[in-house]
Amino acid sequence: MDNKNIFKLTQNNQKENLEKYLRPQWSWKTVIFIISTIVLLTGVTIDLEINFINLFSDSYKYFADIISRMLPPDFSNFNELVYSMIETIEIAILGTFIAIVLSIPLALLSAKNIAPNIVIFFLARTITVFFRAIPEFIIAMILVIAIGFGAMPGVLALGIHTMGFLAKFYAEDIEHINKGPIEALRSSGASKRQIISFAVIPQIIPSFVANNLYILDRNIRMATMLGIVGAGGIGYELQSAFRMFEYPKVSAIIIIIFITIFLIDNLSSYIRSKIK
Amino acid sequence: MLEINNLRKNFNNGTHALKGVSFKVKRGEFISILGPSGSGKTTLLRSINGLEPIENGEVIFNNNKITKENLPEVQRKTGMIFQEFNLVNNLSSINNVLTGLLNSSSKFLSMFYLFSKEQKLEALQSLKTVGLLEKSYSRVDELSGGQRQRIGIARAIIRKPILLLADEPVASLDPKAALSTMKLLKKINKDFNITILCNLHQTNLAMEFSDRVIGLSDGLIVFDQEAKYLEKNINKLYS
Repeated sequence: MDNKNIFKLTQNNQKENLEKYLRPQWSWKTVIFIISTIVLLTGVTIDLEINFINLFSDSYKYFADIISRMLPPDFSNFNELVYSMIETIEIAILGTFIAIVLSIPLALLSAKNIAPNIVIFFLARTITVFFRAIPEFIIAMILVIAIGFGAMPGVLALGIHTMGFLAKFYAEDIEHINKGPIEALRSSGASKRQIISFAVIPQIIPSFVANNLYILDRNIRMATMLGIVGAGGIGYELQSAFRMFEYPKVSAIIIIIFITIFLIDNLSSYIRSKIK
Repeated sequence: MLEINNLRKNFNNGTHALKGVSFKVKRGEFISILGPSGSGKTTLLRSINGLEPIENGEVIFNNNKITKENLPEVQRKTGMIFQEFNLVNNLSSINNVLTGLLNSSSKFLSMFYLFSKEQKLEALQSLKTVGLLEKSYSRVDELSGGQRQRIGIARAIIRKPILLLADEPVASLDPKAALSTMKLLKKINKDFNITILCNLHQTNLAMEFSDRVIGLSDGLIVFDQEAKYLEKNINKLYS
């Protein structure tokens, strides 16, 4: 047998030996996951009595009808709509500011690694979960009843609801910071507040800014909707236009909302990309 | 100036990191501690400056036994240098160095990064000592590994310590940066008469820069002698 054949033989033997290490590309967990997802989605669709075939075969006529009634958009009261849009942005900015201010102490108390004690930790965590769980729509509806129509219920609803989100984001960021600088400051006898100021906050600043911009972006979108329950802004105009069947005005409002969100989304992406 | 007596340290996971370590250190000595990973070197240094509580044995610093009460005073007089530098990456060099002064700064003002002119001048002086004055306002994540370790050294020396504890200060550096960092530590040791306890893995650096070398293995001292005799005993550590 020449050298070449010996090599081939060794290769074949090795392949046979290695075959026992082969495993299927899809593990049984993956297969079970795929099957359960299909079963769940089918069950949900049947339970909700949704018929996708009917939706595409019949409903397109109604869609076409409503869209034809929305065209061309009516920008006759453009200045008023722009003013309402600005009011919506203002509601979102103030709501976000309130959320940031309230969420910082809450985050410091609900981050496992720096919370003063376990009782305060659980209390702060419960508060964040509670306010995240109640949608701003419900908070706004309650506040409209309590303090009346206008921007204030919108501002407070956004502030209180997104406080829960921001506190959770910040707390998670704090829990994942590099512990090295904390240790260095501890070794030099720095106080806990100094450690937070010098070793915790600087490390979370980039994600802090990014999270705030994300929440601002989200709050502007949500503020457009809060007007529907009477909390001011362009949502109120949208609701009025729907009630009066002024569909061309509805499409004009939707276009203004879209352009605003598009610009803000790009601006916040640009700012986020510049933060290190 | 420093006396370690029968220091023992057990961790909750059952690890016996130190099993009765005793030695004395004179003012101005440069001592290297050699030993394999897990031999207790880091725990020893962390116990000296209070990062690990002392449960068994005693550490006497400047004729005073270290207790919880006098620990802040001990920490004020010691500086610590870390293997991974432990700097805040998105702060400037000068702000990182100023964190070394937090112990003696106004608790309220320092939270807002407000320091006195004298403190800022001290930070600049420290940066000058380590040769990085021109990088004072650069963010530390823009610096090389060697430069970052120099910032770590500047932070440690800003409050004029009498003892520097260096935990594997060159382990994350390339050979050139490691040599230059060791030279800087030696210069600080000589020029300012600062005692240095330095954990190392590199026997050549230990021999070149130390006055004395302590060999630590499995939580026990296996030799303690002048650096020039290191070659004779190095096998005791790694055999």
